[in-house]
Amino acid sequence: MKRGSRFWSWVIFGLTVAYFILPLIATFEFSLRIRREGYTFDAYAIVFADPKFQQTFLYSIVIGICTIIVGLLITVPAAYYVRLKAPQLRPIIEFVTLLPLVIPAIILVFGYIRLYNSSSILPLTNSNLGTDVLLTFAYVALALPYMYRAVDTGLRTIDVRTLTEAANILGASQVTIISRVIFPNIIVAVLSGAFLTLAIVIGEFTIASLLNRQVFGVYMQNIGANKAYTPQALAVVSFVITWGAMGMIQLLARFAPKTARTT
Amino acid sequence: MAEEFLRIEALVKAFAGNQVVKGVDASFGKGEFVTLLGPSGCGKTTILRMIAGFERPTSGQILVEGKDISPLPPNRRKIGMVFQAYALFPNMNIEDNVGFGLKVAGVPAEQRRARVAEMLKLIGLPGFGKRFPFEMSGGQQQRVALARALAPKPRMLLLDEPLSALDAKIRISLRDEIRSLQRSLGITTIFVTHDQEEALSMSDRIVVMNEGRIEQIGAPFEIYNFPRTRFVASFVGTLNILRAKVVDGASGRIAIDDQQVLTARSMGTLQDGEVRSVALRPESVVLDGAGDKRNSMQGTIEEVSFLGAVVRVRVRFRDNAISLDTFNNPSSPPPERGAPVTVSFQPEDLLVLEGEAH
Repeated sequence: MKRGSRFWSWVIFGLTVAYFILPLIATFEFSLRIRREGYTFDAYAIVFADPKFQQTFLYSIVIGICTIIVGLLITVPAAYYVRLKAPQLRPIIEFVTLLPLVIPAIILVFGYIRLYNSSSILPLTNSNLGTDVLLTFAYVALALPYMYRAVDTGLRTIDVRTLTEAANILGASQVTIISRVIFPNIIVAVLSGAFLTLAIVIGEFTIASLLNRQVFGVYMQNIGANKAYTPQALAVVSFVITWGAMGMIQLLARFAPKTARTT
Repeated sequence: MAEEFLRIEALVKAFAGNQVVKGVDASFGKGEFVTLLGPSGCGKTTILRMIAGFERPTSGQILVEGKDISPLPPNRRKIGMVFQAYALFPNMNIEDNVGFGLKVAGVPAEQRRARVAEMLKLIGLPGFGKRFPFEMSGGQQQRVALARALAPKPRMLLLDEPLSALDAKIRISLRDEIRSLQRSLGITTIFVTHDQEEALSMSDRIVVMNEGRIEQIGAPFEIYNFPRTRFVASFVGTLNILRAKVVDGASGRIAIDDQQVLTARSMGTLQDGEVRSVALRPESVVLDGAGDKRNSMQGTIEEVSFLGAVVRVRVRFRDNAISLDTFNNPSSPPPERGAPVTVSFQPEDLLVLEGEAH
């Protein structure tokens, strides 16, 4: 009986792995077949040599970092305040942070364009910088469910109230408490949120495309529409970046400040 | 009491209309070790948190050296505090934890290092500076928390049940350490606990609290031996509470289950026939009229509990019963249940409590 159930467990596990891995293997294999004479990494060489790849990838990374910084400046104090002073607001905040998951990106971006177009009070789309700012804030909203949850989970692992009070009575201001006591103790959770955000920003297409920003996602779409093998190479590169970000989350978890013994 | 350092006046705290501190007045001397003692929910921690500045009083004042500190935020009160849960910063090593208050105050690195080393030596943990909190035991962590609270030289120290999370043996050794440290530094200290043994062994004075009010303030000897209310009598130590009828208030004569005994103090204000609660410590009562005790009563043995070094005997009169402790003596076995006995005690040991008998 036990042997039978173990067999079926392995079968289900194998099927699941195949479901996820096979398309990736197929994509990777296809990306290597740019030459008739055999497998080659030429498609990757073409991708990396393309100045547009470098340009769009760098742009996406910069926007991703800006998104992380702005996102942290909003979510860390908000989650900290809710946990410490207004726990009754938690359900409302959680609902708000989940909204980007239920509102499609297309709706979001049309809303932004309507609100911040050239004839509005705040015409952000009038300039490149303004549009970059708008894109960053759009990504902050898009990454909010992940960022807020990661920070909130981090706060849950420490005794926020007592640590705050202990630092406060020792003379620390609120800014010092957040920057020197709370933030370092949730750094791993914060970085998890940061890498998730980066992964989202790297692959995002809809908002950037409609705001006419040349991000990595838009570049991928352009290549995919016109070429045969390089899009597959790009897809694999994109997977490696995303998985690299996920791997970093796992790696960083090892460096989390350990909670103290109680006896 | 030494020169007054801290005074709380008509202090009230209400949460959502529910008063947890109900008009408390007390004053604390400079260098005094005062314990707020009481059961859970009596308001003792709320008072401590109001002194620290974590809670804002609903009304009343907190005066330190004559100045109202109520408007000051916690980080400007110059008060040290030790928490039940240690609250060491997990991301910092012990040196950084102890030096945190000094760093925040802008003390130069050299002076800070010297002060941290001095504090670690004071708590008996020199050489532990590079360790992290998770590498230390609970007792060690609490000593570090104490050093961290004292490092910036606060004008007052607040201890919020700092021993509650520790095991019994460490608790006893640490309470002696805290007390000797407090004495050597001469710092005014307010200690909150629900443990009467801690309160009795550590304090210069004890403030016994119940339901948001102060029941009695006094030295441990006074609180234990002369409790003023039924609550203090029952909360501090083991006590026999008996119902007694005043026979002759002027001469201090009362009757317990129709057996007349004397109290040491006149009860001139009481009416004859009035029913009051009286208290008697188990260690004040002896079996079989031994010695020259002036009060004696007849009863029967209801229960005998052998506790090793001590034998606890319960004697019933009629409606009332008392417990008394006798030392175990191998050559004299404990009395049998149901045997008639005489118990004796001094009039001074019989305390008439305030308020009517329940």
